[in-house]
Amino acid sequence: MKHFIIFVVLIFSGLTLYYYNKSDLVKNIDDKKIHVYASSSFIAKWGPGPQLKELFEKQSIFKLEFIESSDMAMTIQKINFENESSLADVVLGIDQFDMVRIANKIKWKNIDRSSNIKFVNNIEGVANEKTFVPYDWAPLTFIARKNIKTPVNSLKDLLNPDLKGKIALQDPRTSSPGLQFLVWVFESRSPDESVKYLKSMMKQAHSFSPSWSASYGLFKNNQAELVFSYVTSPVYHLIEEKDDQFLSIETTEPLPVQIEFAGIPVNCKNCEAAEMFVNFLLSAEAQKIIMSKNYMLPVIDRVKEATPFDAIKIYKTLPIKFYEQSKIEKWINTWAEIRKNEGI
Amino acid sequence: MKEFKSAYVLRYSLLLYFLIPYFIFLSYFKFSFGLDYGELFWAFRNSLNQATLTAFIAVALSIPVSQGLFLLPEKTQRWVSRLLIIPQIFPALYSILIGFSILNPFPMGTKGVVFLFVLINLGFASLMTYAATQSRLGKLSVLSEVYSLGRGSFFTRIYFPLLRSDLVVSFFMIFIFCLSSLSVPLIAGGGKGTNLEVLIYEKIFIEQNWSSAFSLCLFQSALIFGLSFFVLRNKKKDSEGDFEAGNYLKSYTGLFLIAVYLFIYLGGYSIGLIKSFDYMEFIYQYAADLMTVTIFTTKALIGYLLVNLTLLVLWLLDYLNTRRFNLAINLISVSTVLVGFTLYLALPLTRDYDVLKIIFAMSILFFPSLFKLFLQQPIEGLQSQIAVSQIYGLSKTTIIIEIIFKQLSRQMYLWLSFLIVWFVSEFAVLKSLGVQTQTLGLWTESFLSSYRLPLSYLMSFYILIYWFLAMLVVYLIIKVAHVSYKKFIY
Repeated sequence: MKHFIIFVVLIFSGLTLYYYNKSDLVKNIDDKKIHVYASSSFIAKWGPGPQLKELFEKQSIFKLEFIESSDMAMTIQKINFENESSLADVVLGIDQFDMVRIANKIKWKNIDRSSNIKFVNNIEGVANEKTFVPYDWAPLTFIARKNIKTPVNSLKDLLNPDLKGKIALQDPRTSSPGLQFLVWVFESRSPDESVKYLKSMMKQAHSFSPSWSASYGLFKNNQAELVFSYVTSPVYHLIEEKDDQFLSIETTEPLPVQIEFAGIPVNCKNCEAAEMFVNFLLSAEAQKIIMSKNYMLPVIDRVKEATPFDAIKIYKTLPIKFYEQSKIEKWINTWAEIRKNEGI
Repeated sequence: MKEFKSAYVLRYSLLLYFLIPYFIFLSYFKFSFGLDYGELFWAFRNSLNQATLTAFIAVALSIPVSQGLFLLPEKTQRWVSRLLIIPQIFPALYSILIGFSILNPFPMGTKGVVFLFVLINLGFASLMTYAATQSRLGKLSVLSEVYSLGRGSFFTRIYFPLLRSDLVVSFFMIFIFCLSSLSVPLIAGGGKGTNLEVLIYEKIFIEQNWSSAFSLCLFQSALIFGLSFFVLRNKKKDSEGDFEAGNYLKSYTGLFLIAVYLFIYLGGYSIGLIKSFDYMEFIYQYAADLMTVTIFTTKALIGYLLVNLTLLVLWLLDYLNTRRFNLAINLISVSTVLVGFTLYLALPLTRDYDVLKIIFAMSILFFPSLFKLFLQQPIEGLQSQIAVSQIYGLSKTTIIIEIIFKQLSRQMYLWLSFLIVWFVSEFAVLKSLGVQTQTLGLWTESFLSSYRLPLSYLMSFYILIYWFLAMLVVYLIIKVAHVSYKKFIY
């Protein structure tokens, strides 16, 4: 028994030492490397990450390493705890809600950018943010199949009895698109009307999924006739699946918009290179890659010209705002209360 | 004295290994009692209702289903058993999609949640009952038939009294699985579906209140620990020897239930899979990456199996020292967020640490529950043999190899099989760990979380094939090792 335990302790100590030493070796040659935190879908083989890395490394002397960040709250907490020893040079995938809810937990660097960049009109309001640089965006709306029998042109039309239990939505507590829908309702109606509307929507909803992907899966499996998603979703089906049977719905109410930002934590290691990378994201080539792989719209004017994305009609959108944390919490609590009492 | 000291060190080192995430968490966050108890008990009550009903239905149905299995030839039984596990190991989203396709309109609310939970857990519960019947009843069913006891009397006088503790274990195991589930109550639970896991999620991701989240995790762990410690303790019984299923243990209704269950689940899955074959060309594009992912998964799996086998040997040595299983056996179903996030915070986010993180986290999460599920009772059943061997001065190594491993080879394969398949298909833990290298489970999830649902079906099928091959390799290695061991000692 004693020998076995000594053997086990030796083996595991050896392995641990090996891992630590290996990591030290890597650190020594890290001066020319920047670490970019991004989501798994961004880094995936089919996402924009690999092509962006290749192009950036070709255009600069720096190496780029993506670090997968499964959730923004966790990533920011990690950077906060690591403080000066944090590896993060750039954080990608910060949306408007993250910026208010969690981004102020750490300090961010002001980012200098080239002055001749022409951002698209829809996001001009946030284009000059000093600490966060927008790199893609898309309005959100309902996606349906072209053969949908019930016409939908407004939020009110979603209350049509024919659509009872046929709309796949997301839970605003766990999903960013779910929160966008909630904000959309409150932004397009008075508070009382919004509450009334949400109560009626409870019967129309097929389900409130924990994530966008679960709700989209239900829609794709013909469980629901409508799903709340991005206006760019039909383009994915057209390009990747050669299926033109999906459409995004234009409503009389201006649509909510999701914007993804890049930020540089103040404790960055290769700050100059990080800034270079963020500016690189705004180049026409990088924007094209992000658009075609992430299925989001470019923030720079004229990038989507002569691509299938040019055919996407950009409906009227809501002005971009940053909501106070207390307001978001209040809306979510209202929703949760309605769901508790009126939910199916 | 020296022996006593080393036994003491071993016992508490093992316990410490499984408690490390709690200590790390405490070093980062302050523990706070500032919980909203009304909210906590509301969430707890919701989960309790769904979990109790599900566990009761699944265990009740598992009795006829397990008896349906005994009607089949032995080889077919083995295959059908493997098919019955599938709903437990696939991502919950598949079960949700299948459940929604069967019932239209789907009954949202408690009924819907219970239906989906039963769909996910019935096969697993049936396998537990099937295994317990084999280990507890020996030839009692045949003997009852010879003595014309009658089916009713056989069940009331023999079957239920002997299997009661196993059925209770199955009940609470399923109860615990349901208690800590996130996706199913959120999608199908309606407004009243908020459970403890959802509450933990809200505390972290909406309020960023980590202290409260930790308190909730601790409450959940303590609850499960308590259930495991007080309720899941089994009476120690000797195995009844060789098993033979008499007619009282065979049921055509059960066979019908198996057919319906497999038809519903595997039928639903097959439809998804067949449709996904249209997307094969996409998988071909990623063939090289699939190879890399498979190689990394295999490397991590080898390390993971070695660590689990080491833990098993240490666990058994500890048991032989004190005749009690380590307290850590009750740390079943520890919160994924707790284990994942502590290691996410404590270790650097570089690929170098991926294997270490994966092995450490997954052994903490899976070892106690799988040991409790498959090995605790059978080992306790060997207690008298172990006691006699110790009196005769047999070495601990001989007891472990010649008495425990030799007699419990079937349970060991089952244990290994679950270790492998839970490991290979896992993605939620790996995501919360911040693992940077892709594994088969993470790859499936990244297809699932983009528009590429069909590709995730193809990957799930690939995982099933991988599981089968991995088990085959493990079986061959064990056989070769056994032969070498025999040659070495004689």
